[in-house]
Amino acid sequence: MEAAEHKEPNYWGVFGALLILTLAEVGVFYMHLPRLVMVLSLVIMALAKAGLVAAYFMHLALEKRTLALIVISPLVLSGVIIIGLTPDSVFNYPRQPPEKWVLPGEEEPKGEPGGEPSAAPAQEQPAPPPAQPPQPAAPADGGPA
Amino acid sequence: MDHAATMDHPMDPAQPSPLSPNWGKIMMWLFLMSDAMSFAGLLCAYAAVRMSNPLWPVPSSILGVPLTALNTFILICSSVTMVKAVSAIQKGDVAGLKKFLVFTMLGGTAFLSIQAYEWTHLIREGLTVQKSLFGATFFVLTGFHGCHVFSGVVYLGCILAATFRGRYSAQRWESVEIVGLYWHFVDLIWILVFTFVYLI
Repeated sequence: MEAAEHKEPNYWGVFGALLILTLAEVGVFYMHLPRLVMVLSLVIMALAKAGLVAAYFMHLALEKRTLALIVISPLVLSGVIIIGLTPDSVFNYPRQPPEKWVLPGEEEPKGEPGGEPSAAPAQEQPAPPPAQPPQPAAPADGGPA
Repeated sequence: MDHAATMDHPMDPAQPSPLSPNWGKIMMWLFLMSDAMSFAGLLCAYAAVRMSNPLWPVPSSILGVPLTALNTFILICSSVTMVKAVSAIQKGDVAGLKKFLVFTMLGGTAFLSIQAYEWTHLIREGLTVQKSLFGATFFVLTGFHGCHVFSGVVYLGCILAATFRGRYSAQRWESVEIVGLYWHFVDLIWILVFTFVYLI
């Protein structure tokens, strides 16, 4: 009995921690801190919350270590890929004027600052078919009133 | 039941190891990890697009943070009811399992309803997928997550139906734990999406 109770984590404690972290996140958001401080603290708190959910709600901390290794190793690999690709994607990415996005092979939009896409004809709906006269609702004959 | 058996194997006497016979749990974890890669790809694309766009709007100038914070709270609560559902059936409490599964599904439905309300509001204000990159990343990220919540509610409904058919007992609850894994993962992803898309 004691072993079983020891095995079950304190779910209300985890819930309280998640609640406090969420409130702290919203609080930090409204405090108008310097951008770097805000982003760093928000990311750290979000990762802490995600870790709490994975470790206790998903029982990762209570399972065999092997399962944790199976779960964490692909995340580490993807983290390596992200770190490897970040310089290319962030610093060598063609800087676009705001909200004017040109896909490869598409032609430049016709320079209106309003951001109206020039490829609009492709998105335009064809003229709607002539409106049908509204069908009268099928009489529910025989149905119980 | 017998105390000696539960002392030796606190989770389930029928399982010598949590890993080797319980292939269902490993498969769910592997699926969740590949799903995490999809979300990581979307989040990284969002980060790259945003960082290369120097005049990206401040998200909170367009999105409503308090409503979404409430939504985050609802999803965390539904995670807690999910955990309670699993621990109920581990003690053999089928009525508790039904009750907490219904609560979890209600939480997921409330989340989806609030998100539908938010999307309607934003679309009426003119934010669409085609209108801007901000709209595209926002709708793709939250929509992909919303699809997961919807599938989760359907999945929970299937487990609830199986509960009513008497599938689960104190000896047999792996499927309930596995649906819990999926549900908590959806909650975990929302915690990240809320921070990266709404707050930062």
